[in-house]
Amino acid sequence: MPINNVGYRAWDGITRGALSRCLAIASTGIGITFKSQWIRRMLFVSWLPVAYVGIGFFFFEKYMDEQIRQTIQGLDTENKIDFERLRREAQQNIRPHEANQRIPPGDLRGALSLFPKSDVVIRSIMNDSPSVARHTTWCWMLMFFFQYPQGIMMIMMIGLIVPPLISRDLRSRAYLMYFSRPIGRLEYLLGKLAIPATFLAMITLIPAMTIYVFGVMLSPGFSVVLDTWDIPFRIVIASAVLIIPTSLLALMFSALTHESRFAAFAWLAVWGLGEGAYRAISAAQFDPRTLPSGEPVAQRITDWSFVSLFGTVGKAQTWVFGLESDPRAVIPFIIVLLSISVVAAFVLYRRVTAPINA
Amino acid sequence: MAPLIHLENIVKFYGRICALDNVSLDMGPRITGLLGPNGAGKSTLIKVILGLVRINGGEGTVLGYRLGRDGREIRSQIGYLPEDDCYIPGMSGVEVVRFSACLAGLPPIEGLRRAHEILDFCGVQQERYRDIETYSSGMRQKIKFASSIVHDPKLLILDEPTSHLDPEEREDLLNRIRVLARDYNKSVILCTHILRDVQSTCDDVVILFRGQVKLHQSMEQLSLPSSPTTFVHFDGDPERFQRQLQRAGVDAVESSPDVLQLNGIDQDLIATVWRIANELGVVIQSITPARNSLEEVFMNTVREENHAH
Repeated sequence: MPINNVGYRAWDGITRGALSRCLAIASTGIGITFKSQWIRRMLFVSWLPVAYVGIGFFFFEKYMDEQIRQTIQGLDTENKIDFERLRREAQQNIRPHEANQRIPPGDLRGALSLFPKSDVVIRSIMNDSPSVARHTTWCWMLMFFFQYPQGIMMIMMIGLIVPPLISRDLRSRAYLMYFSRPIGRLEYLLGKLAIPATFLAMITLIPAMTIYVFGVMLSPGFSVVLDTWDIPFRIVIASAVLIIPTSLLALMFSALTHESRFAAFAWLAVWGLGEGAYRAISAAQFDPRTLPSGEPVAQRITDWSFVSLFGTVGKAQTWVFGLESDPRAVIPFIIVLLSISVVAAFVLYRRVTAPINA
Repeated sequence: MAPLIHLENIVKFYGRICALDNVSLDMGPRITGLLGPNGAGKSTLIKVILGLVRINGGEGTVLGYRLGRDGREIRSQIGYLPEDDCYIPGMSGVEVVRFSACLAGLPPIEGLRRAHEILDFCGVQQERYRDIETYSSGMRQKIKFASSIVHDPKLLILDEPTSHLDPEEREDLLNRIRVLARDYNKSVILCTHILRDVQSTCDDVVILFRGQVKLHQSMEQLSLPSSPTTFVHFDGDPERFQRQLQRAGVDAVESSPDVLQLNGIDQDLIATVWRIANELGVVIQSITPARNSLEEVFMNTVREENHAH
């Protein structure tokens, strides 16, 4: 029995606006999702790559520091130069290609060639000033972080979180609980979208920002922030590129069925089949011959990676991090991602209240 | 007094099926029972009142707001208890009620305070902290009721509120509805198939059939029999008592061994019954005016319509 039962009492407080209802849907969904042990484990695992990328930042900064030191010492033949002043200037101005020549370029290429877009990074380290090389290398490492470990984690995490979000409401008819209150479709959808967005931000945006801060702390001076001020914005945009189309697509699958396992299957099938199709087409089109100009034929073949959602998101992120030199090459991928987002949002908007009208 | 719900020639089609056919209705601030066989259009009427579906014709107002235009304002002042389970797995009872409060716009902390208060009112004890999936159907029903009133709405729409409840819980819930209507001026639309609940709780009755309003009357009027009749339950010699009443000009027939059915309901008749009972030493146990049963009214309405078609 309650200690003090006051019975029914009228309530005349001030109700909040539409945003608070969105937040209520989102926070409740996040709370329920967070109860899952699997999700908590996945969150833990998805932070492990931060250590690898952090180590990458550390070695890069050590390498750059060593190169600058060697360059300055090479110039300082009479020991009359203010070492610290020159070191600061070197951060901005000196092109360390002379020093870099001491390291056989082949070794560096060999170490990095396993990774995509490594040619851009190698070129920058060899030819650009340390500040430019740093910007390029940080962007490249962050792009790699987004595209591979976190990209794969995202597929698994959305596959676990999103399929039940709407299909469960349809199955238990909980949508009546929402729509019999002053809630519109848009608020409902924004609230639901915020659930995967929050979890994906936890494995992309927040760790990437952490890596960036870690990089700044490892760097020789605070002036590095001025050289890399745009990277946090690129991280935000890259996170949005990863979060918005994928979450909308997964929510759309969830809205199309009462059975969350079907939605999960459709979600995984889109990634698996897309990647499989891309690889099959690429293999079929690969031609090892070279043209008279020396350019390999394979490079001239159309890039089919937009068939794969993984490739599409990756390509867009490469552009966001400034590693794609030709913006026109990215347009088809941006169009694919926009189309997915628009179609998924449209279907969601139509589907969420469809059972009420049945 | 302005009607709480005013509907005028409301038409609603689902494809080619006419769910509501020129429904015109004025509901006052009372407890109204909404009756009708399955497929009569009750759920559609509720959805129209909540502003959840677009109407194909007609117009109306709910709580002073225009149908089809002010759906959000209407829903903010209505508490709806759906017939279906409508729960979100993974939440405890108190979390569900708090969530409902937040969906209605209450701040989170106030929502939690209010949820506990309402759960106390609804007789939900410590089980409020258990996962809702472990609840019995009756417990879920209580949580749904608590969710529907947590934001203190002006109008309550209760769709089968007493289903899955045991007799004691059913009576408790009906009492709560009466308290809300009587002491807190809540208007209630009670949609149920349990006619006894309607008879014991409602002030008005609306019977829908094939998308049309077939009957809309107050319970008081509805209960009156076609001819005024009084039942006298007594202890004594039935033949002598009946004979003496007939001699006094009262039309009395034996209804059952200790019950006489008298034609009439006025005070003179009652006085005559008391006088003769006193003379003969008959013990009067009860004198009850006859009432139509709602079941009878409902069946007659539906039957007449079936014959008409």
